[in-house]
Formats: sequence, C-alpha cells, structure tokens
Amino acid sequence: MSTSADVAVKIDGLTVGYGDELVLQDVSLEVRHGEVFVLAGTSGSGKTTLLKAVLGLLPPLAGTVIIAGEQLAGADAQATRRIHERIGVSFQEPALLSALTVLENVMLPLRRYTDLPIEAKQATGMMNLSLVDMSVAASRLPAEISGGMQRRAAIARALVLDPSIVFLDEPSTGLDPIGKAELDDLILRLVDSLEVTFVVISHELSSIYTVADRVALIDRDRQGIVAIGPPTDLRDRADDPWVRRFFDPQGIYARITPGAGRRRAAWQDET
Amino acid sequence: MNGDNDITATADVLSDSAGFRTERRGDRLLLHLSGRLDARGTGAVWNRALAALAVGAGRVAVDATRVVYCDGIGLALLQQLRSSARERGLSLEIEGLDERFARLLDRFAEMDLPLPEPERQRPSAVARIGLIAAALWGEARDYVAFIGRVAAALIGTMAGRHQVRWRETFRIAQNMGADALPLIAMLAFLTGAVISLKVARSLMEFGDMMEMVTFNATAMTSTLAPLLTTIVVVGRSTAAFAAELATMRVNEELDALVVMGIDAVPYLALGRVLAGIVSVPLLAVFFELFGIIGGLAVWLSFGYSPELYLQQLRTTILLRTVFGALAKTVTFGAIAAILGCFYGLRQGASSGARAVAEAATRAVVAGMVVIAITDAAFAVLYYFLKV
Repeated sequence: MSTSADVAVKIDGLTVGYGDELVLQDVSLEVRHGEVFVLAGTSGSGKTTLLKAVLGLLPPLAGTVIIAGEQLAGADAQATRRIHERIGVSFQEPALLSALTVLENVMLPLRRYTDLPIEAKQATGMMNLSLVDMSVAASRLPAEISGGMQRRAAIARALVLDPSIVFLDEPSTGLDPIGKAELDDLILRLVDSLEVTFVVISHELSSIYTVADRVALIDRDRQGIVAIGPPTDLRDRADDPWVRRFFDPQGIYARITPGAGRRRAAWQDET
Repeated sequence: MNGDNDITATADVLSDSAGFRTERRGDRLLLHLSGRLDARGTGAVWNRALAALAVGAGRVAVDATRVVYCDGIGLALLQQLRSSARERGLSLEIEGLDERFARLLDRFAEMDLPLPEPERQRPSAVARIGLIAAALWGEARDYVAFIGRVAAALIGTMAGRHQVRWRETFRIAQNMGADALPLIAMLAFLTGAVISLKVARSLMEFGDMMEMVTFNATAMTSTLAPLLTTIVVVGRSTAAFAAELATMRVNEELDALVVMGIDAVPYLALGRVLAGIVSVPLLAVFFELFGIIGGLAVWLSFGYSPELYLQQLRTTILLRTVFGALAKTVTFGAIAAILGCFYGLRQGASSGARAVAEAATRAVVAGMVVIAITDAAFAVLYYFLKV
C-alpha cells in the first residue's frame, strides 16, 4: 500500500555481522515518512548493529538499505553528502567532540551544510539547546557536564539541521523521568509539526507506548525481526508469547490504550 | 487602522525560497516573511529581517501568513526577532504563522535565548608566568609523592601485601624491550657508523686511527647508549603508558578499581615500573653492541683487520664504565615508566579524547626533561667517583 515516496528508510534482505559472526540475517523493513519507528529488543540483539548498517558505518554482508531514496552503501561523495544533510543521528555514546564547547558541537552541522551568518548559527544552536533544556550549559566543554546533559546536547546536535530522518540510539539513557517525558514530547511535536521521521532504538516501554507508531522487535537467537507493528497490537495480539511478554513483562502496561493512536490515526488519514 | 490606503499590494509569488520585504502601514511596521524558512533559505533573509527592526518604532508585526515551512532555523529567526524587538523596547507580534509551527514556537514563548557567555579573560603575561611556575611546582611535588607511592607499593609487594601481576609485567616488558629492539639496533648501528666516520675524517690527517675505535666505544658506553635508548623508550612506552592509563581514567575504569578496593598504583603502575627497570638496561646493552658493530663496519671499510678492532676495544672499554652506564639505565627505566604512569593516572583538568593526548604529551615532555637532568647529575657524580 505504500509507494516508494512514502518510504523514508527501506531495508531489504539485510545481513550484517562482524567477521564470521552473523548478527542479523535477512532483515527487511520499511519505515514510512512521518512515523516514529522504534527498534526494540534484548541487549545484544543487534539493534545498534542494524542502525550502523543503515547509516553505512558497517558494510552489509548482503542486502540493501535505501535512505531518503538513495543507497548509502557505496554512494559517491555527493550522494553521501545529500543523505547526511537530511539525516540526524545521536549515538549510544553522546560522541560530542571534546575540544569544542556544547554550543560549538551543536553548530557543527550548520557550519558544514549552511551558509547562515554566524549570529544565525549561534541563535539556531542556542534554540536547539533550549529545546532539550541545555542552553545554560552552552559554553561548557563536554567534559564539564554530566552524561545525561551530554546526551541531550547530542540530541540537539542531531536535530539542528532539521533533518527529515532522525536516528536516535537509546536517547533516554541517563535522563531523569522529566527529561525522558520531555524528550518524548519533543519527538511528538517534531513529528506533528515538521513531519520528521524518527527511527529510535529504545527498550523503555513507557516511551515506546508514548511515541511509537510501530515497533520492530529483534531477537538475538532468531537473528532478526520477530514482530512488527503498533506496540499495543503486539502486546495484545502477537502470536508469540515472548513478544506479548516483552511488551508487558510486569503486567502494568495492559491498560494503556493506543495513546499515540491520535497520531497514528492522523497519519492514517493522510494516506 | 488609519492608513489602509497606503498598502502596497505586491503580488508575492508563492515560491518555495524564503522571501522578505517590509511595509509601513500607518505607525505599524510590517515584516513579511514568506516561503520556506529552512536551513537553505533562512540565511538569505536573516540579516535583512533583523536590520529592518532597527528602523522600526512603536509597533512591529511579523506577517508569517505566507510561510509554507518553518523549521528550527526559521523558528530561531522568529525568536531572534522577538528578543531583539524587546531589547529595543518595541512590541512585536507574530501573525498568521501556521498552527503547526506556532506550536513549536510556543516552546520558546517566554524563553529568551541567552547568548553564549564571552570567553573568560586571559590573565596577563606576568600572571601567566606565575601560574605556570605554580603549576610546575605542584606537578613536581605530585611527582615526588607518586614516586613514594610506587616505592611503597614495591615494599608492600615484598612484604606480601600485593601481588605482582607477572604475566602482565612480562607482556609489558616484551613490548617495551624486545619489540623495540629492531629500532634500537638500527639507530645504534647508524649512530656508531656515523660517529666513526666523522672521527675518521680528522684522524686521517693527523693522529692515530686507533682513536676511532676508542672514541666510538667510549661515547657509546658512557653516554649515547643510555641516553638514546631511554629517549626511544620514552617515545614508545612512556607515551603508551600515559595514553593507556588516561583512557582507562576517562572510561571510569580507574573509578571501578577504586570502588572494588584495588589500589591503582600497585595494580597498574608496579608492573610497568618493573618492566622499565629490566628492559631499558637490556636495550642499552644492545645499543652498545650495535653501536660498536656500526663502528666496526666503518673500520672494515677502511681496510683494517677486525682483530685489531677487537684488541683496541678490549683495552678501551672499562668494565666500570659499562656498569656505571647500566646503573644509569636502571634509573632511567624507572623514570620513564613512572612518568608514564604518573601522567596517565593523574586527574587532569580535561577529560575525553583531549585528556589522553594531553597525558601522553606531558609524559613525553617531562620524560625528556627529567632524563636529561638526571643524565647530567650522573655525569657530575661519576666525575667525582672517577667512573
């Protein structure tokens, strides 16, 4: 039902691994434009490996990945630049450059891809920092702030170019409950207002139920995606009992209605 | 509205690129923004829009009806206009902004975007000299204290309180010593050959060619072998120790050791210092050997017999010179290892990738300085001891 124009990320028959060790085999999925797609799974199941393969940081052993209509693996410099300009990534480690201040880190993509006047770059950088409540730490060095603050700055950096696809690898790690809720709220606002596509690696169930349109659940032993769909559907109707348990291991999420449904419904109206 | 009739009706083409124009409507200044306010387009209108505020007086409004898209950069512009207007005492309203974007802008409604603080003022030149001197003095004191901790660890080990990690120590000694051998051999051979050749030139005109052997052998054993060997070790191993330990510090591995009740000095530094004490003298012996072989190569190329070279060596090289040099290298080896550990384990001002680079740089620089000073001290000592 989805045409290629609706697809933000298309993964087809992807097999990845390190050396002889295969991590994921024959993974295929499509992330649609304007949805929040969550990759979930047990520790060590290959979520980050999948993300690295999607971003072209890890050459796939087989299969293809198409982001924003272009294939990143083996793309020439121009195509790579085009793709990089349209995506934002925050890694599992905050990966701020330690020699630059927080604001300079956030301004880095603006320097690379825009010719805005310096005041505009600063103002935009500051605004993105305030989106994640980090403007007070703008002139600090990464080493001088806490891990949670570094993570928030990294998220600001991922968002600063207003990419059409944002990849976040466990973005809420190290954030306090309020920070987590604000991050979820930010994701929803950006999706609503700017039609940003989010690919989020997370196993925070409360966050998944809040933001996710669809979840793909990866299992380490089966080396691939075992279930895909809206989280409440997987919780209630998955054939595999393990999947149902994953989405409500303590029996406390049973009554959560498709909270993000308002978004899902809106999205379905559009298509 | 008292000036409805001086509206300049311009037919704006709804294009995708960002557009900007101003309009005066009575006492109101209207700033029309249009098109896509995104990373590509906003740069073109940024300065013009902010400059237009400068001529505004009283009431200013931003007309955003024709903004078709507005992302973070566009919102930054709107926010910047708002705070800039407030600074000038103007009232500014944003009209007609699509509800989707207005909701994002709401997040900043009451928020002033603080500009980054100006850089801290640099202290004056005199103050800087004082700060550097004070820092150096503090560093020297810490270093001496660290030597004390290593010595205490050594004594504690002998008393059976800590265990030496022998396997780890052998690995480090191999890396420090055996793995450096090819480099030492090449450096020594060429140094010996070059010295012999330089001396041969002046000896050929007046003097005894046998002096060539004496000069090379003496220079090698008493000074060059200990000093150059240690400098190689400082460059290879001291830097590596500092970088490795500083990385462990950055990764909180050292903190993990502390909370497990493991003292970093005996656990990490002791093996390295022992490895340094063993491997630097051994490397120095090889340096002497290859330096003398380098001299021999030049000697043979002049057509003299190898027996004569060996005979001259035997009369020249005094056992006490060789042992004096070895005593030096034991000290140098300890210094090289201790400095690497000291700068690696030291809590620095910065952390992250930069801390690792800083630790390695400081360790190597301090290594060269301390080795040079110690070498000079040994020279004076040996002069009086007649070694």
